[in-house]
Amino acid sequence: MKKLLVLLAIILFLIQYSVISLEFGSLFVGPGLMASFLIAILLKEGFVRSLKWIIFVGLLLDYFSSTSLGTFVLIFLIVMGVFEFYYSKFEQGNQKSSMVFISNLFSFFLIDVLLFLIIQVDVLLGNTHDAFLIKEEFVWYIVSRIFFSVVGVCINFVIGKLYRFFGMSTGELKLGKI
Amino acid sequence: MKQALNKKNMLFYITLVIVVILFFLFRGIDKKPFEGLVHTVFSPFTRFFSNAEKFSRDRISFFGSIGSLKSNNEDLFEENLELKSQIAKLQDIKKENEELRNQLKLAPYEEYDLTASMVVGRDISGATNVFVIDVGSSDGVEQQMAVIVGEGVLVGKVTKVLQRSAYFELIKSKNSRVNAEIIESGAKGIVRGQFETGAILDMIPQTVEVKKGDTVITSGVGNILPRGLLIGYAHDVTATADRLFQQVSLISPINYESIRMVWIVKGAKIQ
Repeated sequence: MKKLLVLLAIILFLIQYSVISLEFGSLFVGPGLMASFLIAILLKEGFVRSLKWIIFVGLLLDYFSSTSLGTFVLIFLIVMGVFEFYYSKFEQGNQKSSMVFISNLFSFFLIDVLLFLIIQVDVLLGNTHDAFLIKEEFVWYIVSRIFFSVVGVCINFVIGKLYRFFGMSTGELKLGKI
Repeated sequence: MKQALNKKNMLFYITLVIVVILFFLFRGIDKKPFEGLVHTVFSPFTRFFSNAEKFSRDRISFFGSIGSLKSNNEDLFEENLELKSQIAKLQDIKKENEELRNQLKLAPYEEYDLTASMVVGRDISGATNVFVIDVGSSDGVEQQMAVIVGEGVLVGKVTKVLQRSAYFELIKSKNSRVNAEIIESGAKGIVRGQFETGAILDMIPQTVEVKKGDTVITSGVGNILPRGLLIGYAHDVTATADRLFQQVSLISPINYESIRMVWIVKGAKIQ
């Protein structure tokens, strides 16, 4: 099962990196699919058990970006931490598609903000970066995030089916369990 | 339950601290540990997926353009006839030029040593003007080499080289600087990216007359990029704030979002 999830993560990464970002243009470049994958894992496994996935996916993205090593690990750690806190406090056990959609959308905006802040810190400390978040069309930016959120719901569905197929129970975020 | 929650919070904060330390430790290092190896391992897969994307894009655009195929075909036929007649005239001029160069004992023309390459991805951090190609140091690619499309249209420069892949940055990137020249007037300046939407030619003296449509090429100054690569055409001319120079916004003849195949200019070679 773990090997299948690793394979799925790599396929999603390749689709994001070599297909979506080339096919749909600059507004669809980003860690959208990987963030959706992590959210789906987090909903099934809980925060502690999904830490290794956060580090794996974060490092994978770091190696294919111009940001410093550890940038995406840091971003995903914060985003998933915030997400897990909110979920355990307010939406225990709720895995409805609408909830997953909103979670994905919120996470993408948070990732963009964190990435922008980290790049500004990096620039202040002397590195140069290509411009980021200077998007020509705000509407298409929103469209791209909605697109990724819808895909995120599908990824969550697929991973849920995989868990059921292999007879695995979901982790910490089920109602009443820590 | 409280104990488990504290353990979870502790784990989160410890991991966060470790990652922040690693982030500052590796900050500013151009090449990450084992980066070449990671790219080499993923190279066949990124190539496969980008080939699949190109294949599907070509099929979709073919079906989408069926309606206009007939009129496009007629336009191309007429353009082809016109180009054939121009070729005949140019061959005549070429012959005359070679005879003159021989008489004046000038060196022969240079040709470019090119390596074909496919675009396999984009910088995942969202840096919109950075692309990744499937050739690297093992193919003779080095930093600062020109990246062109078609018959010599400059699109960017190689900024980072790994063993089997390389990153290149478009000329409209804000970090890009290219020595350029206007063919019609001979004026030299610097092309730099502006606000990620285009490139401008800067440092043109006020005494030079720049007309809309003037052709801008690489000047070859500094021997970084070969001379004669097309950059774009002049669009708008404005004065700088201090009114000492002119700035010319450029129109590129290509659509950067549709770049899939590029050539790396490995260096000029004498015939």
